[in-house]
Amino acid sequence: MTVAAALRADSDAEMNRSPLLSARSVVVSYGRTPALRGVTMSVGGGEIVAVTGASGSGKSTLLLCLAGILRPDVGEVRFGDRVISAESEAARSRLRRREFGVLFQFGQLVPELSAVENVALPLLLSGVRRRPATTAALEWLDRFGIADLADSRPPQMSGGQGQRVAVARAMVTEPVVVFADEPTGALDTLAGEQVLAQLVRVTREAGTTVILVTHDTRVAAYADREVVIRDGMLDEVATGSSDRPTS
Amino acid sequence: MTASPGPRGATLLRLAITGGSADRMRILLTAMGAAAGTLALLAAAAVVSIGPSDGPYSSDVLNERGLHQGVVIALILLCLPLLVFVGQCSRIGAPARDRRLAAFRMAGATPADAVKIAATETGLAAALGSLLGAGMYLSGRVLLDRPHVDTVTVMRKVRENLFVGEPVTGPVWNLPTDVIAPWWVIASVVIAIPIAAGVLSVVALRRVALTPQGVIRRQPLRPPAVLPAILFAAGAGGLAAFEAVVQAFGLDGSVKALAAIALLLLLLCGAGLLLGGAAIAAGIGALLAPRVNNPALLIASRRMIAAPYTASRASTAVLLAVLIGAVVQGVRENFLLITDPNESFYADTFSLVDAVLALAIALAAASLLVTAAESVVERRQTLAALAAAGTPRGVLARTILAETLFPLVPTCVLAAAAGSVAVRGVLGAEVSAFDSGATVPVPVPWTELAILTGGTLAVTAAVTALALLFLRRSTDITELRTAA
Repeated sequence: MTVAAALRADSDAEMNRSPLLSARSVVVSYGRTPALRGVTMSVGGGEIVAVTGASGSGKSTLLLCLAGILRPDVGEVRFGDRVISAESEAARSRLRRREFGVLFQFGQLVPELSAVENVALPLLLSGVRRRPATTAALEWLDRFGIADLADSRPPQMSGGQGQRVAVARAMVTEPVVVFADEPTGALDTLAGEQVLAQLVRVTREAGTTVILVTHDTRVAAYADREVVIRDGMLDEVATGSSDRPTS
Repeated sequence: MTASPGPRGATLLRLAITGGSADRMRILLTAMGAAAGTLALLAAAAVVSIGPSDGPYSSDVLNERGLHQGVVIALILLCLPLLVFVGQCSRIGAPARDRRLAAFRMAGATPADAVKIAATETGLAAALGSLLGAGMYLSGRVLLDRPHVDTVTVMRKVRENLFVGEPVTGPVWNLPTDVIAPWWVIASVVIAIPIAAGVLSVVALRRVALTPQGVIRRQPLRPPAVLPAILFAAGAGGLAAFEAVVQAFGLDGSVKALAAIALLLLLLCGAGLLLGGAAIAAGIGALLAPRVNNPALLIASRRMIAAPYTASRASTAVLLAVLIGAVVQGVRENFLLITDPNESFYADTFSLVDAVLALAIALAAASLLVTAAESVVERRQTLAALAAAGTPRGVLARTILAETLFPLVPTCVLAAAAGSVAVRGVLGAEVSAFDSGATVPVPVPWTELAILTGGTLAVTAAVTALALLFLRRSTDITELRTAA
């Protein structure tokens, strides 16, 4: 059995648990424009789910709701036993800081901070002292093979290097769920695949759930399950992509 | 069809005023700053125009011709924070304007065309403002020309260095509305302000590469540290030793030349402070960054290292106000000892100077507000990402406050100290008291200096806190959906 297959088997076992994250009849509108029209879905622990759809279909809005960044107009979002859609912004911020990791396409690294400081930042925000936070950050940079960039600032890095630093930052708090919105959208194919392969490897090793928003079928192929959004509604659910690349 | 080598004037004009709400706000504030500057310069010109047969006025400052130079200098100095304010306003909505300029470049405009478009916008706004200012001056002169009958004491020169107060009863003006600046002065000010604004906007774009892909701002990474230190030491040291050198070498023959040298040394000192602001910001950042545990302080200190000019640019007007304010407090302390305490003339004059100073600090604070707000908007994508990752907005707010205030505290103290030393160096640390004639030491106005420095810092903190109103909007998640 390959490492990837072994990891997949572990992941399948995790998926059999009760839903870790769920959305029930979620409706979101931007002004008069509906973005989500009653979406219901659930995600198991350790599962990697790709949310795909055309531009403007509502996939990013769904991710924002699941991550507690956006509160739905109607419906509820649960994380375990907590109804996070009913919680205050401060409580949801704390949840994201402690339990979630987030990855975006643009602007997520603080340009003035070095790579190691960027990765250590979530730990510092959680009250960890500078030295242990830096040590943990260096370990994560090392796991991504970019320890030599520890003192570099984001403007001095390539897009792929910057995105790997961002993945390290998302993982440094050992989150339960990682939310990634088009994480490779600004990268070339090779750099994008390298980043995704590393993201999938480390999240499978840690048993982390991943919600991956993408319009790219090659990116979606890394997931255990694909959820397609069309015009704000769940259109279909495809499981077990046959051409899934090995990580 | 014939093509001209560049865009026609009408095209430039149309492109210059095409923009969104941030652009309109920038144009409005630039015009307001230009209007206030025009008003200040025309008021100075009116004071210069007061002749021996004009007035009398209810303010001794206007009746006493010997003080007119001081009033004119105060009004011109007031234009400095105004200039900084207009300069800061040019950065409002900078990201949106940068995208617009990049789009013009993409559509075929040359870099020079893009600079012309930006300069036309600023020049046009300043032209509107200077016309408005001239209109306000001319209409104000008519509307406020309400002399009332009163008795005022007018100082008459009896002989060299001897004046006597002479009561005069008759029509008295509150402001010099009975005189008007020469038409050519009014025309020159109205024309010069938009030209100066346009030139300044071209100068401001000298480090900016306007490309079709976007606007790239080139900033020197290391701020100069030695040159500002030399300027500051030369200025402050020269002023501190001023009187001693003059006495030692018997140079007190020409009062005007000595005054000019003292002013030059004060300018050197100010230039050192302003140029050194960036070095001090970078130095504080370098000191803090490796040591702090607090994430807000970490981001702020790294920001001070990476963009030291942002902090120093913001504090330019504030530092000038504190430097001049400290000089004024020292002069006041000196005059309180050497003049008749029953004579209200100097107290009234200093009250007027205090009012001008307060206005200058308010203008400086307004510039700072623009800088802080622009800094928030410019970094909206990073701030939005941090907020999305669960960073409390309080941490982001403290970051912005820290990066503004940390460099300002030491430079404000330095400015106050330099101003204080300058006065003691030029006017002397001991004077002959008016009442006893005995030589007495001039006390350092610690309370006034503390109020000036502390008050300025408090106003600055309050104004920067106002800029945090932009934080919620700038951390909106939609900021993460587009490339910067």
